[in-house]
Amino acid sequence: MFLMMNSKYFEGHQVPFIRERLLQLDESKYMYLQTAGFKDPTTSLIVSLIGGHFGIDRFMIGDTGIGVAKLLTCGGLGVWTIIDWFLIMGRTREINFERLQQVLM
Amino acid sequence: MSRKKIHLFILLFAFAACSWILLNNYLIKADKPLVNVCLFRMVTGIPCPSCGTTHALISIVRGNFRTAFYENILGFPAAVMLLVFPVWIICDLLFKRESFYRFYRNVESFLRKRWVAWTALGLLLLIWGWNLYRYFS
Repeated sequence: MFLMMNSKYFEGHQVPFIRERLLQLDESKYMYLQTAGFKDPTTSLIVSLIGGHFGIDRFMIGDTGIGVAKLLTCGGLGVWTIIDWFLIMGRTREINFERLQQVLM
Repeated sequence: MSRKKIHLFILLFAFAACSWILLNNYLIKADKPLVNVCLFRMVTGIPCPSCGTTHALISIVRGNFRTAFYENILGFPAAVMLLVFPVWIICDLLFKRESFYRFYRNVESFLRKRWVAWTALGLLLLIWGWNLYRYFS
């Protein structure tokens, strides 16, 4: 059920691993899973298209340090902004996976 | 991000930034026009909060701190970061310590606090407002 609702937050190759871990999971941890607050990759892409120049996308997904670097350099001289339009969805899924692992540990 | 990735990112970033400053320094010396790379400025015609940082950094390198102050104040923190961070990382790598990584993590979690984020945003808007005021007057 969790995977059906949340599979879009993770990379395809991570899903079997997540399924394995969920099956072994204690019932009490499901509450934590619901409150983990995963970020939607599509939303981060939209934010990146609009506010990527100021690093808002990076701030949003939690890469604060990189966000500051992007903000201070006019979006990495404009080049980084465009590169991030393609990278941000993958990075969001990666961060979601890290967050899930923190809950599962 | 892992420690290795952060180290690599900051070292590459500092290298790129220094190359950019040297290139612009050469262009200014040779009296050639500078390239406008700011997407925000290209689209709206208004300079973004960090426009002018390159000029400010070049002024700092030349020792004209007063000029740098009027070009963009953000040049000062940028200069400090560009000077300190690569040296810190190289020292960490040489002595096999983790002090920079811990510092980076602490700063990240500090910036995520609500009041810090709002104060930083307010300061940034203030700096931007001042820059715009000087740009249009």
